Amino acid sequence: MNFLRIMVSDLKMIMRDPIMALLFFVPLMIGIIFKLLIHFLLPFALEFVDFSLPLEPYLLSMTLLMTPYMLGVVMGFMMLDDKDGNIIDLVLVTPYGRRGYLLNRILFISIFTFLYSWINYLILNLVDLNILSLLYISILLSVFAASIGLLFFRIASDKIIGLTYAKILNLVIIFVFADFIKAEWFLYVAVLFPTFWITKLITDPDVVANNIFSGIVVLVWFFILYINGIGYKKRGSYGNH
Amino acid sequence: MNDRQSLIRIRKALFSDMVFQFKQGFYFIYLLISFIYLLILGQLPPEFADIALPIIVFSDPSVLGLFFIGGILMLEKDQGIIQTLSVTPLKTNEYLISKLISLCFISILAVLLITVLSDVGSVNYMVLIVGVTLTSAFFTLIGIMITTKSRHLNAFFVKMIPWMIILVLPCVLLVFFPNEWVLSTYPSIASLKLVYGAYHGISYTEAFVSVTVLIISNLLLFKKAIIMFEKHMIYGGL
Repeated sequence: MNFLRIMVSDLKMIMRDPIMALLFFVPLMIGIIFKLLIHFLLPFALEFVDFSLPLEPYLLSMTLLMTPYMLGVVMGFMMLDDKDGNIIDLVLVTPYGRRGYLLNRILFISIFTFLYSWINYLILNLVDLNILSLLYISILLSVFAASIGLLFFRIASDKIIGLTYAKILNLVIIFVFADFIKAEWFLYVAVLFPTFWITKLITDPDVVANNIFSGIVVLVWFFILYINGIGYKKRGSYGNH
Repeated sequence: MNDRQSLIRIRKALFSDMVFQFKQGFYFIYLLISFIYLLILGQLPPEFADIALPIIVFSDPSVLGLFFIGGILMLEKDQGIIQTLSVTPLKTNEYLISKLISLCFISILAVLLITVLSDVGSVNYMVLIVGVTLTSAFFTLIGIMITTKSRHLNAFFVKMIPWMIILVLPCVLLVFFPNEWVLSTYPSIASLKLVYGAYHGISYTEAFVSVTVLIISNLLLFKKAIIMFEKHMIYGGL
């Protein structure tokens, strides 16, 4: 109940700032923009290149992954602002605490990522997935969004480092297309990243190993970052709550 | 004498900017990004890679300044560095020139790395370096102007969107009218024509028009950026 109240207050805060409100709705526009791009540009690209695999599942995966990326980065920069403004130190002396602060932020982006994943899946209408697979993918995407927010909170010491990590995170999306890269070593690197496994869940949703490993990789990322985030201690702060 | 002192100040500012950018991992990031692009290009059929390479060069390394300048200026503002410009010998134009050169340098390094290591035919490196330098400066100046009007980094990203649409979307016209010289009078199209032309050939007239358009645009933007920067960042209340 407490979380709900704080989330509503956070939502009000975001809606009061037109910039933040716009950023929160951009992932919805992404689905529409990608739908148009795929409709008009894909036939053009196929004239030049004969892709060895059907592109639709990979394009769906990339578009769905844009939501956790965008919301995670937005929330990450919000938390960096809180860090720079010493708001986190103030939160420590409230009953809310560091854990409450982090959980609230995580839940916020996770819920929106979950909702947007379903909406964008329906807008794109590229691949038929059964409802259980879609539910599982949406949950993993939500956890991934939380991991991205936590990554910023934990390791970005200032805004520029945050931008640098945002750039690195953009690179991680390449693992969506790992099946197209012929270099074997690339596959060994790709299996360590959630973007690879979420794509596998779309290309081969019925393979049990894909379902197990995707869950393991996404959760391992999340827990490592969450435990680190809870333990985060800024110089001069009062320690853990 | 004044020019000499100005050059010394720019040189010192440039050195500290480059050291700062190195410590922040800009060089490492673009080394990594360049290798990933090389990996992708290596997987594409040659006829597609020939088209993809100039598009990659134009869309990422050439415009990196736009992405990073917002964070750099906001951090320096938070640290109080920018406000002190009013009382230090370093002038606003020298401060901005140093930022432009340091970011252009990373763009050029990344583009050269990708081009030299990728399996492309003959490249006009003169046109490539001129094109990337002018493009990088152009987008960095746009980034400076956006930053002066942004309160935080998320606001910077949102304000970047309409600029990107205005500047990048018209480039699609080149697909339909590749030989229409009038298009070169639009700065971002002039940039793309130069970069594309460096790999696929460009006529002297077209290169001259594109370079002239970009130099004039950069000079006008530089004047405007100085005014906005002083008004909003040094003396302003943002």
